[in-house]
Amino acid sequence: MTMKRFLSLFTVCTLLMGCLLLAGCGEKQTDTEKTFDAVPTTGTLNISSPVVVGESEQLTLTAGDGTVSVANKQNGTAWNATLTEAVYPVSELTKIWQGTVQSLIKISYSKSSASVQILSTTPVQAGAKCTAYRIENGVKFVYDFTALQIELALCLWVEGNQLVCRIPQAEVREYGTAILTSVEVMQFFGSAADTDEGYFFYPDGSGALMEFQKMPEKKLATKSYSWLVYGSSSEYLANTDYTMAENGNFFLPVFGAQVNGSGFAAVITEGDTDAKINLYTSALAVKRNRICCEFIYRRTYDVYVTNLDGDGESRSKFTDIDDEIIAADRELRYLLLDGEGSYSDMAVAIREYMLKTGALVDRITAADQVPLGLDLFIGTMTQALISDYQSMTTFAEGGEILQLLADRGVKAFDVTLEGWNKDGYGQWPADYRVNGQAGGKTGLHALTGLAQSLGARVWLNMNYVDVAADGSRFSIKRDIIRNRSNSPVTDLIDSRYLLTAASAHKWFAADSKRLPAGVAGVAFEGFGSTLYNDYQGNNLTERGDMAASWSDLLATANETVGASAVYGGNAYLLNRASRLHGIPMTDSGFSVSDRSVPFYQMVVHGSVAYSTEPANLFYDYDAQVLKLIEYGYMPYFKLTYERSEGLKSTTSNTLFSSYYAAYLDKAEALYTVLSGDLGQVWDAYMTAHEALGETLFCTTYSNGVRVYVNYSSEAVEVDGITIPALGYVVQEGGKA
Amino acid sequence: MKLYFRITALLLCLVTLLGVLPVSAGTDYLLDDGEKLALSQAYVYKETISLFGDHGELLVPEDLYVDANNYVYIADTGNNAILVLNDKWETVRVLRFDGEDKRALDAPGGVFCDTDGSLYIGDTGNKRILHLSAEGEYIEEFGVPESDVLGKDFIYSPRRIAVSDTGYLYTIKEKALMKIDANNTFQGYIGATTLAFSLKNMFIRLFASKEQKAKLLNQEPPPYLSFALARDGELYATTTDSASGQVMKLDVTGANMFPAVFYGENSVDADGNTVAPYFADITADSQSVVTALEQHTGKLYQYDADGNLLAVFGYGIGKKKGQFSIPVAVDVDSTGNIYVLDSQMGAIVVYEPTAFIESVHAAVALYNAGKYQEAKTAFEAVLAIDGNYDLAYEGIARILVKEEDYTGAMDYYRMANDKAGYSTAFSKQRHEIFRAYFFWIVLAAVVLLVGAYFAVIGLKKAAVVLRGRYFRGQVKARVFYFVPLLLCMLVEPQEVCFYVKRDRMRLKLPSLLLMWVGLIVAHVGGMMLTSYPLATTAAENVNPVTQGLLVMALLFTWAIAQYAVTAIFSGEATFGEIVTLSTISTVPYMLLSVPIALLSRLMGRGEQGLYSMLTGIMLVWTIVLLLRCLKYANGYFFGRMVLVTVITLLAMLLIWAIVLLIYALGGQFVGFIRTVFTEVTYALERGA
Repeated sequence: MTMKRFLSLFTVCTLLMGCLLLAGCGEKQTDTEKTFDAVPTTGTLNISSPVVVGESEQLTLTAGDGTVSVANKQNGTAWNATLTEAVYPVSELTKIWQGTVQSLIKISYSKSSASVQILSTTPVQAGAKCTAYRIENGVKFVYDFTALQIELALCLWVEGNQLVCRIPQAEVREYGTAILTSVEVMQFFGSAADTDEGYFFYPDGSGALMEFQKMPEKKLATKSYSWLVYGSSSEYLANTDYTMAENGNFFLPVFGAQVNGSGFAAVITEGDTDAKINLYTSALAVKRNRICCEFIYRRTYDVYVTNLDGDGESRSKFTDIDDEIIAADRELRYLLLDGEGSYSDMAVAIREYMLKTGALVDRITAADQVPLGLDLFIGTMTQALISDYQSMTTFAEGGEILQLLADRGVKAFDVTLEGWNKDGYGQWPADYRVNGQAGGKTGLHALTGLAQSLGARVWLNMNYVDVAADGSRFSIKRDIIRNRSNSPVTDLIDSRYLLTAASAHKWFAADSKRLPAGVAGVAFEGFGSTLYNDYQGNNLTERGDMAASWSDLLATANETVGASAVYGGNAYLLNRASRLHGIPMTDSGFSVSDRSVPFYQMVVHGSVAYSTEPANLFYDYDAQVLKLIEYGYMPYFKLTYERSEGLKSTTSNTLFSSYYAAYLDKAEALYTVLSGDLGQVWDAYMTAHEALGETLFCTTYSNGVRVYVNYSSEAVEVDGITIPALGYVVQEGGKA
Repeated sequence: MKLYFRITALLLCLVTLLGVLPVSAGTDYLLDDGEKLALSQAYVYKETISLFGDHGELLVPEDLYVDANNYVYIADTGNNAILVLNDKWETVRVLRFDGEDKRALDAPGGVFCDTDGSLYIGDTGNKRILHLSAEGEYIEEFGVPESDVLGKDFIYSPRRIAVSDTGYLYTIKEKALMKIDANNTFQGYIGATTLAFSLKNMFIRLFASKEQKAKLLNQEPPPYLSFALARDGELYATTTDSASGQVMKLDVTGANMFPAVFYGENSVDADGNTVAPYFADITADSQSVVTALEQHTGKLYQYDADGNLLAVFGYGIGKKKGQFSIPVAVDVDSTGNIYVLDSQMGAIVVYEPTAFIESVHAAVALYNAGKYQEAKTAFEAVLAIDGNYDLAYEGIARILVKEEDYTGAMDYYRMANDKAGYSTAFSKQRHEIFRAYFFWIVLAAVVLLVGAYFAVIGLKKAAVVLRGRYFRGQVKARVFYFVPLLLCMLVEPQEVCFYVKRDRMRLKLPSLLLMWVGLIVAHVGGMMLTSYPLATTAAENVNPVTQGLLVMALLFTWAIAQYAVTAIFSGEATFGEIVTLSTISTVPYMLLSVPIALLSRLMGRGEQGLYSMLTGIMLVWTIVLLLRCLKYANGYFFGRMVLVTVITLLAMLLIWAIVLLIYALGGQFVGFIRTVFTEVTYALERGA
C-alpha cells in the first residue's frame, strides 16, 4: 500500500472512528458454541499389509497403507479408494500426481490468514504423519501435516450397504498459522478410464450422466468441474437475463458412478450445505475420470478495493478468506448397489435412504387424486415511467376460471395465487395484505370458499428471499445479507438484495397472522433454489444455519397455515414441503453431460408433488407433454383472465402466453391424460427409468405399472406392445 | 404544455428506471422498442460436431456452406483445406493439396457449392476464386478480374463468395459487392454502402484546412461483413453501418429493400464498454427466412422477407452445450436446422427449430404466397403457443383488411400495437361509413358548425355583459364566479388581470381548487379520449393521479419561477395573483382539450397534421394568454415581457434540475459514504 493511500485512509479513519466503534462493539453476541464429538478408537492399527478392518452383512472394508478398499459380498465387486500400479501406471506420473492418486484426501490451505494464497497438498506429497486406529467396523486415519501444523482425522467404516467417510470436527486441529480451506475426499473412489463401461451421475437439474466411453468425442468439454451443492447468492443474483445460467441447479447432495456393471450412489449426509461435487475428466494428467466430494472449511473471496489515490475508478483485487472455520462434522456415505448399479438403482437407494432418515417425507397418500396445478397470476406493477397496477386476474375472475375447469371435469386442483398481495407480484419485499384491486379480503374469501367446494387447495405465493433495491419496506442496515467486507450482497447494478434469515422469520411471523382463512398453504419462492451465508452484524449465519432457519420457517408455515410449497427443490426442505415448483425437465447442459435423466423425479415421485414450467409456455406442446408423462409431473398451467399482452411492460413479461380462454381445452385434456390411466401411479414410487432407444423410454413404478413413451414420429413395438407415434402406453402391473 | 410533460418525463426517466427485478427467462426473445420481450423457445440445441474423422481438428475455420442435399462444406482456413461432409457428418472428401499442385489453397476464407455440385473456393491467400469439380478436379480459376475500371493497385482477396443461377460470381470487395461474369470480366459493383451523414464532419468540412479535408475525404464507408445468395436469387448482406441498417436485402440494382433501422442490440463487454452489434454472417432459407449471426453475444437474429424480426435465439457465448466462443459463419439446411461454425472451438453447433418457430415460418410462407385463409389459421396456431407474438396479430389484421373486416382488423392491429396499421383499417372503415351515411353526416356537421358559431357568439356576449356587471360591483362574490372570469379571459384578458389585481380577495381558494380540478379533468380526459392511433399514451395506461400531479407541478413551477423572476424585474404582481392568473389563463386548454380529443376519434394517422394543428392552436392560445397575463399583471412592456418569460423558463428548468440533482446526488452521497465506511472498517479489521 502506498504512503499516500495510507494517509488518505487514515484521514477517513479518524472521521469515522466513532461510528466504527459503535458498529463494532455494539451488538457482539455470544453464540452458544456447538460441541463436537471425536470418533472413539480401540487401539492403533498396523496397516503395513492390508487388513480387514470392518465387516457388515453386505460389505467388507480392508485397510492398507494409507488406503482402503471395500468389497461387496453380494456381487463380489471391489472398489479401491486410490489408484495402484496394478490398474494404472502410477510411476509414470509426476511426484505431485503420484501423491494425489495414492491419497484418500487432498487438503487446500493458506499458510497464513494475513497473506492469502490458496495451495493444496496431499498426505503423501506433504509427507504427513499418518496414524491408523481401529474403530468400530472400520478405521480412522489421523493425518498430521507437521509442516503446516494442521491435523485432521478421516474415519471410514461400513454399515449395512454403506461405506461411511467422516471427518469429525473435534479432531480438526490447526496448531500453527496455516489455515484449512477445504478437504477433498476419496477423489479416486470409483474412478474410471475412458475404456470402462458406465457413467458418472451428477445431480444437475433433473440429473445428468457422463458416459466414460464418450469422453474421447468431447474434446470441447471443460477438463474439471466444481459445483457447489444448493447454489449460491452470486449464482442466484446473476441469473437474470436471456442468456443461459453459467451454473445448474444442484438440488441434491448426491452423485454416483456405474463402472463396468456395478455402481454406487454417494450422499453427503453432514456438511452438505458447504460442499462441492467435483468432476475431473480423463483429459487431465491422470487419465481417469473421477467424481468426488469436497468439503469447504473456509470460504474464499475476491475482494475489490477502490484505489483511493487513483481516479476513483480503478480497483484492485485480492483474495480473502474467512477467519472462522465452518464448524461442522463432515460425512459422506457411499451406498454400494446390488445389481447393475444403474442411475435408477442409485435413485432408489437415495430415496430409500432419505425416507429412512426423514430427509424426505411421504406427503402423498393412496387416497389423493392427481391435482391440476393452476397458478393464477393476479397482477403486478408496470415498469413504465409512471408505475401502475396491472390487473390480470381478480379473485372473482379466478373463481370463474376454476368453475369453468370444474365444469369440464377437473376434480382436484392445486391453485397458487401469484401477486395476491398489495401491489401484486414482484414488488419485493412485498406488502402481504390482500390485494384490494383484485377484490380484497372478501374477494379472496369468496375464492377460497369456492375452491373448497370444488376440491381445490389454494396456496399463496410469498417470497422471503428477494429484495428489490427500489423497494421501501426494508432497512438496508438490518434486513439485507452482507458479504465478508460487510457491504450488502447485490447484483452488478445494485438492483437486488437478499433477505436475512432473521428478517424472514420476523416478517413471516407478522405476515402469517394476517393471512386470510381458508388458505391451504404458502408457496415460498427462493428458499428451494438458492442458499447463502450472511455476515450481517457480527452474527455470522452460515449456509447450514440459513438452511435450518428456512426449514424452521416452513415448519412454522405448516403449523400455522397448513402446508408449504417451495420453488426449486433443495434437499434441506424436502422433509417439510408438500409441493415443488420449477423442477427442471433436463440438466443444465454442461458440455461433459451425455444425457439428462429423471433422477430427481425418481427420488421424490410418490412422496412430494412436483411441477416444471407451465404447459402454456411450452414451445413444442406434444413432445413436452410426453416429457411430463415420462418424468411423472403433475399437470400444471399458469393462467390469467386478461390477455398476456397486459404483462408486456412488466417484469413478469416472461409469461408470454396465459389467456385462460385459450388454454381451457388444453388444461382439461392434460388433466384427463395425467389423472386417467396415469392417475394410478400418482402415489407410487418410481423404481426404474430406462432408455429403450434414442426416442423410446420406459418408466416403471412400485405398483408394477410401466409407462412407455415414444418421441419418434413413427409407432414402435417393444415388449409386444405398440407405442404410437408421439404417444405413450400405460402397461399395468403383471400384464406385460 | 405537452412538450413540458415530455421533458419532465424524460428527466424522471433518467433517475427512476433503476432497481428492476428481472424474472429469469428462456434464451429467446423479441425486441419491442429496444426492450427484450420473452418469446416461446424458437430453436433448441441439437448437437455439436467437433470431430472430423481422419481430418482431425479444424484450425480457425472461417466459412461453411450447406447445399440442397444437406452436405456441409467447411473452409478449414488454418489448415488450407476444404472439408466436405455428408448429411450424417461423415467426411466425404478433404480438399487439401500440396504446394506443387495448382489447386493448392492458401487460407481459403469462403466456399460455395453450385447446383451441379462443383465447388467455388474463395482462395483468399492466393487472391483467386478456384472452381473445382464435385470430385475435386481443377476446372478453372478467377484471378484479379479484367477491367479498366479497377485500376492497377486494386487489392483482391476474395473470401465469401456466391454464384448465381445465371452464372455470375459475387464476392465482397470492402464496401461493395463485386459481380464477375463467367469470363472473369468485372461486371460492376452493386449495393455500395455509403458514408452516413454526420453533422460533425459537415462542420469540419466547413472550417477544416486542406490537409484535414483530404483526411476526411479518405474516410471509407463501412465495409460489408458478409452476404448470402438465397435460393430464389435474392442477395442478403450485413455491414456495420447502423445508419442505413446493418442487415440488408439487395435487389438487382443494389438498392436495400429492408427497412433502414438499427438491427440487433448494443452489448456491454467485459470492461463495461458498449459494443455495437457485429453481424458476422447471414443466411436465408428457401422461404426467405433470413438468419444473421451476431458475433459478440453469440445470438442469432431471424427476419422474414420484409425485415420483420421473427426471433432472437441461440444460447450465447459460453462453455455449455450450444454456446459459442467465436462464431463466424451460419447456414441453414433443408429441414430448417441452423448450423453455426465456431472458429475458436473448431466446431459446428447445430440448432433445431421448435414447433413454435416452424409454425411462424409456415404462417409467413402462406401469407407471402397469398394463401390468406390458410395463413390466418397458421397465424392463429402461432398465437396459441405465444399469445404475445405481435407479428401474428399483424398478419391476421392484414388478412382481415383484405377481407374488408375493418373492425376485426382494428382489434388485431391494436393487439399488435401497430398504430399505422390501425389507422389504415380505421380510414377504410370511415370511408365505408361516409359512403353509407353521407347525407346524415353532412347534415350533422352543418348543424354542429352552426351551433358552434352561435355558441361562440353567445358566450362572447355573455362575457362582455358579465364583465360589465363585475366592474360595477353588481355581482356578489361567490365560489362559482370564476366561470364568467374564465369566459372573459378568452375575450379580454387585460380586463381580467385588472379585476384580479383589484379584487383578488373575492376569488377564494375554493374557486381556485375548482379550476384546478377542471384543468386536471380536461387534461386527463383529453389524454384518455384521444383516438388510439393519435394518442401518445394508450388510454388504459393513463394514470389520472400522476397526470394530475404533473399538471399541478408544472403550473406551480411556472408560478414560482415567474414570481421569483418578476420580483427582481420590479414586477407588480403578488404570488397569489400570479397563481390565480396562470390558472385562469389555461382556459383554452380546459375548454378545448376534450372536444379535440373527441374530434380525434374521427381521424386516423392520415389526419395527423390536422390533429397537430388543432392541439397547436389550443396550446399557443394558452401560452399567449399566460404571457399576456404576465405582461398586464406586472405592468410590463412587450420587450420586458419577453425577457422575463425567457428567464422564467430558464428558472423553471433550473428548479427541475435542482430537484433532480438533489435526488441523484443524495443517493450517490449516501452510497459514497457507505463505500468509504465499509472499506475503512475492512482495512482496520484486516490490520492493513
